[in-house]
Amino acid sequence: MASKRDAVADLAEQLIRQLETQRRLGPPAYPLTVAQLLELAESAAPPAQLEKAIGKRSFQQRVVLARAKHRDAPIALMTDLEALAGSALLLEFLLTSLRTPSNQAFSPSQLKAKTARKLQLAFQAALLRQIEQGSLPVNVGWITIHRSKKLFLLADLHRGQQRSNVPRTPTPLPQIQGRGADAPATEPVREFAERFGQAFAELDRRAGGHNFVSLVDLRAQLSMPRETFDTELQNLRRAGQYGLSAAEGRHGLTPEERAAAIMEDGTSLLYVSRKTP
Amino acid sequence: MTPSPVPSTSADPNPESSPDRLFDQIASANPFIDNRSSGPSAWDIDVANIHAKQFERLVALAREAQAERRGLGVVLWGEAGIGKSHLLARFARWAEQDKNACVIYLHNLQARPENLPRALLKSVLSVLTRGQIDRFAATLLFRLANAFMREALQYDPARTYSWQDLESGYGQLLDRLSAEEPARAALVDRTVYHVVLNFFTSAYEAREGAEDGSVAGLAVRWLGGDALDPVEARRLGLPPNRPRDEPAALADDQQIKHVLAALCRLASSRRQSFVLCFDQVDNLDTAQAAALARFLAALLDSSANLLVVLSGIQATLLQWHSTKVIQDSAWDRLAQFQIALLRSSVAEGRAIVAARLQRFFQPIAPCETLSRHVQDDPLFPLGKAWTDAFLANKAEVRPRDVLTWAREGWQREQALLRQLGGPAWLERWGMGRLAESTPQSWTPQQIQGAIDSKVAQKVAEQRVQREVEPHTLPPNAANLAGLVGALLEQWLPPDHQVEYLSAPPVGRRPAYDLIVRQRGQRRGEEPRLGLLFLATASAHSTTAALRRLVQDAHPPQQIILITDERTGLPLGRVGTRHYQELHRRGHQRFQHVQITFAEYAELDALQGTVGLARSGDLEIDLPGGQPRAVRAEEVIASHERQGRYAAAPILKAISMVLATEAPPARAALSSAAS
Repeated sequence: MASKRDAVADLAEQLIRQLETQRRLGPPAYPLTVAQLLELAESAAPPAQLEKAIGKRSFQQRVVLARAKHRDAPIALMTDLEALAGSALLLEFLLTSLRTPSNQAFSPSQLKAKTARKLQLAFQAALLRQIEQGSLPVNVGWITIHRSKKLFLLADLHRGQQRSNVPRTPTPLPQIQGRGADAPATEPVREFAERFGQAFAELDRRAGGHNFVSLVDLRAQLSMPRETFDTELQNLRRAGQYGLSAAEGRHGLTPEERAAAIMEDGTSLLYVSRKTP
Repeated sequence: MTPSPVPSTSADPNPESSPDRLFDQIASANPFIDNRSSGPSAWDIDVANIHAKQFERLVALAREAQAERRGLGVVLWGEAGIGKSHLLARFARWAEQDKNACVIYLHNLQARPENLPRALLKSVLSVLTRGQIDRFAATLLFRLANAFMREALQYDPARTYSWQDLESGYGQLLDRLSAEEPARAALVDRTVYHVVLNFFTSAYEAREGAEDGSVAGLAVRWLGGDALDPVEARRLGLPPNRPRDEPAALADDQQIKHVLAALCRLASSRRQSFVLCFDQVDNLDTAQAAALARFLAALLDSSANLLVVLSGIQATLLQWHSTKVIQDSAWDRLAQFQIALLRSSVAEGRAIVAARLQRFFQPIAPCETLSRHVQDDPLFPLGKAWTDAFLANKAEVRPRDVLTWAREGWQREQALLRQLGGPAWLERWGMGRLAESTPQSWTPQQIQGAIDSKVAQKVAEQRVQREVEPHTLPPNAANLAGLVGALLEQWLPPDHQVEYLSAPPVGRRPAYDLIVRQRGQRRGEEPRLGLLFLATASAHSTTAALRRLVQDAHPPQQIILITDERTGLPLGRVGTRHYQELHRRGHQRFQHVQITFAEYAELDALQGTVGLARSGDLEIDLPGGQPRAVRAEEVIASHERQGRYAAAPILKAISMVLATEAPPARAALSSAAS
């Protein structure tokens, strides 16, 4: 019979293998939270043993954990430190875990301070890059307060319901940026981005998580006028959130695919990929 | 066309800083002519920020394979022109610098599915030895073996070692390898490692002038999958064959795998990962892809310290998986990691152009006119006007398109510069106006002409690339047979069928590699042409192959024996007798064609260009700088139209043989032959 020590080591190894499996699936299956990892590993081990396995030095050396002893913290293999640092999962975890009823917006430095030490530099760099490129997750926004950028969950934003009678142009409104400076922050756009993101994630998951979804399926899923769809998708592309690629390959195109594709510079663009992690 | 010079305007004492030098430089060449990477090169113009994350991921995987002693598979995918080959070239440069990894870059494999593993191994050995047949001490294979020997000896520079020390340490290291991973003990093939040791000692002694190094040559042949004569096998210390007078070669795919696994282990001693990089893998046919995937997945299971990179178009690779061309089990290993290349931002597109311009203007960097304009606009002489015309309103761009548009913009500026002269052109440029092109559209004939010209250019490029690196196209009968078969299928009239014959698992090998038969007549009565390809230095193998021809009870009407001049046709006493007997049948019945390396490269280039089109990597530029993809069928039509098949080596000989047959429907071949 294996000793307790061996059992913990085996459990740690099992968790690593599970992480590797998830990595093969890519986003959104990976990175994932510790709780999700434990659930996927389907281990019958008692919680104390799981804690020991996670705390084991050999395990810690091969993974990066956003925050120790926190089941909702994202985790990834050490080789994917960069990917974890730039993931929507990590940013959302930090904002969710830091927010209180009295404070819901945080500077990059405040967020950085709450991540594991080995993740801090990469996280800060990724966050600043996303702010600069306008490629933050769709449910996160930022605003400048006293010259400092503050990030928050869009769900925490309280919006007025009454229509303004003031003409829009003369007075510049405070700019709330969630998808990049180029994207107009209107309600329909936000709505499209959310619906598109959900449809994409679902279709991608069904297709095996290769980050490669056909416009045929997306158009069918979202069911909206072609012009609106194309315009809004173009906005998401400009914001660096999604990319299109050509409908090429050895097997040719069906009439349905031809019809769904977007023509650009003489090329039929058919497949959508997510650009942000 | 040679560009006409721009009239001189000044008599500057320093010609490099004169504005005339700038005008001449712009008029003389277009830095955007080449818009695709065709393999690792030290001269690539690289913008490190583009696809930086993907590059780092590839590097991390190579390091992980080495550090964790694992076999890892990664697919590098994206659409054509997105920068896959470029990224692989950057990766190869990283591997070269500081000896980070041992990267074997492979493309355009042509062997039939059952022969692919051996053809792959042959190519790997050829790259590791740069195709040399002696002086192996200067090769990468020797350096890998040397590192392994040092590990065996636990090398201490202060000590002197005898060959006995090495043999003893070597045996102990193999014991340790077997003991470390009992599950993989069977993969530590002692015969393979024994041959590696003999290779090392022979190459080492040859370097010291103590022997001629011929044993090392035998080792390289055997490790590369070639057959050795029994006497050669004995010299190499191989265990005796059953029956004893048969040639000795790696027995099967399993042993081929063992050689590759051993090479991975040697690289590990050098603290390098061993990387097999397959570029444009999507231009294989499905049977080849299936066979390659099966073999590589098994290899990954057996090898520590191996990274397999498959690069191709994502849609094709995913379709191969969904239609089970690549089985799930193989897919899980080969696509364990996925690196996607997506379109670049417009800013990145500008950076690509700026990098080319910087390299192009390096020779005239002191020119004050140039530096002033570049300071104002880093994309001079394309500039803001070009950016507005080609990049405005773009959400994202394909790097190849950006280069095509830059080429178009440059051509327009060149035309205007020649027309106006330097100072007037510069003045006009300062006003921020883009040189216009005359709007026009092409007729189908013009498009066809452009395709012919592009295909001719690519065939020439591919041929030159092989000639520059002949070790990437080693003598290999299976590869040559697959290549000729593929070209014949493209070229022969539809009433002809090309049949591939392969060795059954048990029983006699077929006498021919390919049979060309004419359809529409009763089986057994139709005209047939048998083709046999030989590229071996083993006289025993040659004799066995010729014996099969001589003893064939129902030979085709015509037989062509094709050999590679680099190996020749080694004949022993019995082999000579068979060869003479075949010749006695007359020139109408038997011909021997010896192919030179240049001819082999020509055939490879014809098929390689078809492969480029299959991978979406062949495009012409329509007026206005709009790219248009050229399909594989259009390349085949161009080859036919331009008489490239009819003029190609071997194919020409085959056409002449077929043209001598009586049946009709041979007009095309007869005219080709004449």
